[in-house]
Amino acid sequence: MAQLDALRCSSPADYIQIARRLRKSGTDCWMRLAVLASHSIQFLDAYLVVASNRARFPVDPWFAPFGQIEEQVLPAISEFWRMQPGAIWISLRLEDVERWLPDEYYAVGPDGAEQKIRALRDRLVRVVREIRMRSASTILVSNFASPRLDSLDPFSASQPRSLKHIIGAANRELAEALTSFNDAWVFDYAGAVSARGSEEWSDACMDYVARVGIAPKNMSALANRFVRCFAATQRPAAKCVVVDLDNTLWGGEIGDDGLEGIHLGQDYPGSAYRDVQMFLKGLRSRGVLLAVSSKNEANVAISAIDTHPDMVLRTRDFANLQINRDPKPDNLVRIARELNIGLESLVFIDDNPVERAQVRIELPMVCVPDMPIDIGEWLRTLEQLETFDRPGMTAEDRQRADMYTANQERRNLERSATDLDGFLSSLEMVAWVGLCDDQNFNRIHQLIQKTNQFNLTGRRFSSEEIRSLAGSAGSAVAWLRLKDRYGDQGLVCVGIVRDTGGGIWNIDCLLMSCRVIGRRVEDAFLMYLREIVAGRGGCQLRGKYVVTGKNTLVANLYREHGFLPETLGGNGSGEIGSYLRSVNDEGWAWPLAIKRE
Amino acid sequence: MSPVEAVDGGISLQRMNTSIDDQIRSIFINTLELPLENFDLNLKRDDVESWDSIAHVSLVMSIEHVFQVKIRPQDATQLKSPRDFQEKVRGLLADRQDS
Repeated sequence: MAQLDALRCSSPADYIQIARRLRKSGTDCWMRLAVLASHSIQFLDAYLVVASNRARFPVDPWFAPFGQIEEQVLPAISEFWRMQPGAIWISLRLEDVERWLPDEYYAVGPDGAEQKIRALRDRLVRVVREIRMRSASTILVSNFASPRLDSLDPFSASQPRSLKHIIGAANRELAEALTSFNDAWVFDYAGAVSARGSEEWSDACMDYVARVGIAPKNMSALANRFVRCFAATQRPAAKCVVVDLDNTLWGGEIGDDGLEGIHLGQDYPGSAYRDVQMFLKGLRSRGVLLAVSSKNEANVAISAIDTHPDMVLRTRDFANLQINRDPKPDNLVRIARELNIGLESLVFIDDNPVERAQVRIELPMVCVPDMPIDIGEWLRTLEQLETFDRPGMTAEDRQRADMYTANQERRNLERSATDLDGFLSSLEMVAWVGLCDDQNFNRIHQLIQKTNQFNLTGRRFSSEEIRSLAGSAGSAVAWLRLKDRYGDQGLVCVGIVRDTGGGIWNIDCLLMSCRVIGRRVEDAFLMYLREIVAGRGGCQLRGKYVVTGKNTLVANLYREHGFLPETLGGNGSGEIGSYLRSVNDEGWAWPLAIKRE
Repeated sequence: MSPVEAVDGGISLQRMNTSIDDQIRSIFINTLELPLENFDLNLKRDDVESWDSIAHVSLVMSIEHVFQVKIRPQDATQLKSPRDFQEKVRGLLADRQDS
């Protein structure tokens, strides 16, 4: 890349030489770009040739004679029409046509200024209309800028009808006017001036010598910016971004570091990873699909995506997830096929240069940007990727990502959940909750001894133990009774919570009668346990799952209810999985279908 | 490698280690598409077909860029040969050293 860096310091002569060589290598598939301008824009020739070749959308510029716009477009026959350009750039500048407007503004007043600029805008619209009647070529129209104004009148921004604001309004009106025409776009010349700095935008000597209008040092930047916009109007936009997970959406490796070990959150570097996710979420709302290609255990990765509290993206935001040990190029092919899009519309984002290289080699049509080593620089790199440029956006674009919501099972679940909500409401459930007393002691004891399936620990507390726990300030024995439209179901839930110090209360017992499985009764009961613990000054609930051989039904219960694993386990009999949840986090909710008495 | 890198035969890198004369020669050759053997410090503007007003402004731009000097408009029109440019550049660089 030393040559590219050198190119940046190159003189106009170097650019001329390179453009000449590029032309010699054959211009057959170059698009003819007709440029009509109010200034000596032909000095941009070599820069346009070099920039457009680098962008792989080579243009062969043709420049109308100085100042000739209508003279070339309106007649039936002209050099412009003989050219049959594939693309057209019109640069009718305020600086050239109304050179003294910033100085005359106070004499002509806002009305006068508006009139002058509207006249220019009308000229442009008329020219675009004429072109459009006779040709389908892409048209780019420079908007208005006044580089002198910022230095001349720093208070222009302070007056509501100042020249600065009139120019801004005229630019907006120009954008509106062009929406009536197909494939006609504003080229943000004002933005180009702003990006480089208006103070040294033009070179007075060059202007006097040749009406160049732009300082030579800004020509490369202007040409690059123009080519970027032009390429965006020609190139089909990226349709899907495929991202890695480890060290891309979060810092660290989920398989090794676990949910607690990965970096994702409010503090750096976790905040930088969140920013990357926010950027991707923004892309999704613009109609770009998101997909994952990651070398991980699928359930571990998906669980992380869906349960980590600082994840911005969840599995439903991805149109496709390939989490396996397969080579990434294979995954990309699969993604393209399953989403029914071409490989050339994929963008692959991965922190690992080896993975990037493999994709580049095997799938050269996929866009694989180089990513910085430091995650802190990722957002800027992503923002500057031209592959996401889109001249316009339709309502269809905005909705596209939602149409591809991944995981059809989850989709179906959501659909049936709506039906389930209806069903549960129809049950007319009412719940009572309370703490163990003499009246329901026996039933509680019975449930503890009998319940196998929906029993998180399988521990059979003795009568003495129950009494002891019920009577202590550092523990509680709780119950829930349920009634529905079919009758009184009696006591259906039992839970025992115990203060272990440090604000953490263990759920030593959590069980529920099979009779009421699938009705979200456990959601209500957990809410009640939380209420007890919070009321006694506790901060966190620790749920334990002990494998008993009969209770696989509830292996994921805590995970499904917003608890985070403290240690992973629960694979073999007797192994314990331990999960934590803060009593203060916002997700706690009493299920709507159950009325509380 | 993009088409640009393919044709850029390291012209820019060459420039970095060469003398004033070499750089001026390079600018003229590249801007005017002169064969190396045709280059002569005493070449006259009127004798070179490709040395039109646009090319002339390009030459001035390149000289200003490479040597980081500013040539006044009235002086620019008076430069009619590579030697004129060379003397101008030497003069401007000397002025800068004195000041």
